[in-house]
Amino acid sequence: MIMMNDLLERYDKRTAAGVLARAALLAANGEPTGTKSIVENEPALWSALIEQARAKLGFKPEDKSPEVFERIGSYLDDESERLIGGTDTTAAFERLIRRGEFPSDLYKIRIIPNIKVFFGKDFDREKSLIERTVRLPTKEQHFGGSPQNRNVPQLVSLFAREFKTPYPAKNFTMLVTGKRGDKNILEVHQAWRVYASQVNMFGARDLVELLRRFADVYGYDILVDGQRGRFFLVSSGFVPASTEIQVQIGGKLQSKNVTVTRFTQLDPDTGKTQAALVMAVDLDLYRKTLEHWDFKQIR
Amino acid sequence: MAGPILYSTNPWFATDIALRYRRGVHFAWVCEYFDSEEAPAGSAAALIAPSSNPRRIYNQLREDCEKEDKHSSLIAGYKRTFSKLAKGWFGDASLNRDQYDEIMATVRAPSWKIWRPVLYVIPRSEINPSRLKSVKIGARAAYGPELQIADLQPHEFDKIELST
Repeated sequence: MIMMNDLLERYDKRTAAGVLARAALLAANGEPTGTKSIVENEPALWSALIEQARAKLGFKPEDKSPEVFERIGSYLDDESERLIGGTDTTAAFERLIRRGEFPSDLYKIRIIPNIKVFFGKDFDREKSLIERTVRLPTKEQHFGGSPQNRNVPQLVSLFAREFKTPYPAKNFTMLVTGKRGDKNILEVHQAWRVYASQVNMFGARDLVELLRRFADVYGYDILVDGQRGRFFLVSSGFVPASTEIQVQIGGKLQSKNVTVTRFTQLDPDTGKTQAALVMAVDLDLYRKTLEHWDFKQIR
Repeated sequence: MAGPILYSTNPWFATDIALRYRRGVHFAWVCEYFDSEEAPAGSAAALIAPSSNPRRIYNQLREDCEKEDKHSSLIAGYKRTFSKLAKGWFGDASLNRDQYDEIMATVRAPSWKIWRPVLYVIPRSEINPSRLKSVKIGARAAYGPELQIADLQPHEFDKIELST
């Protein structure tokens, strides 16, 4: 049962919780910084609440030590929380995930099998770089939470982090893209090392632009929505996981089947499958870059 | 002489909350020195407590985050403060219940990233002196002057994360 403090009984629970919280700030921090008083003579009320808490906790009136004030602050904070009630953490996190505001180091990271297959025995090393990028990126960009806007990807996040080696030319930016929405799981679909010697990163206004520039260097021309290009932010229709393209091999034009990386999503109105961040990377060319520029010591 | 720049070290979460839930209004404890230990001997600023020194706070917070120090007194203190602030804001109706829950859930989550330090660099010329409040001696960590700005706007300062 909640015992409403007699000093606060004239107020509704929400107002009383606020007064208690501000008194807690005053006790613990020396002043109720960053908040505003909303009831009459609130400073006097704070002092009375602090003295009441002091007596309740058994501290002597003359004991002005920081530890005592910290304890009083915690007590008043607990009292405030009792009035407000418990936090619905699950629903709160669902909203943050939908809006792309969930702290990225709280995601459980799941990497799609294609990336593991590409790196083979070196996968664990790359996985560690991917995880560090997601957990503490230097830049991040999030899409989603507005299914009505079909011109942008849905529930997709991009993360970037710079990694250094003893040789500045071998430094690179790891660019990771992942899909949110399944609880706190981030499913990583793409993870590319971007080397400044290969991709012009200067002035890229955001991470989508960086991905576009990466695709300009490593992407094949593919046909999406009747248009030929190397990078498509969103498609209006279904994009298959592989496509046939024409490439020059030994001076002859030949057909080649290439893997298309993309995030699939549903159009909320039509229920049709669309795709986002669509590109077909020349993995042989990318592997050559890694073989040339990789260095064991990365920090 | 008043320094032309004011410095304030805060956890990234403070600016995130200001931007998402407080209409961009930042509250900041500020100092005329990034490193008050470099203040001229005998000056009032030389008496600023190490625990209020922006450089020290920055380095300590960065180290605590990088090493994921579960006993970090700085991070524990920030968590307690934001827990109280959220209740105060919910109580004065400047937060709704969903927003309150989002702040509390995040404060209690095992994230290190949100507590990483951010340095506010504030050109003093942008700040009307009436907005600079001198902290009372009883509320300071030591005798040295400490200042607050309660209504710092995003366009009035730069946010910097120092590289290692």
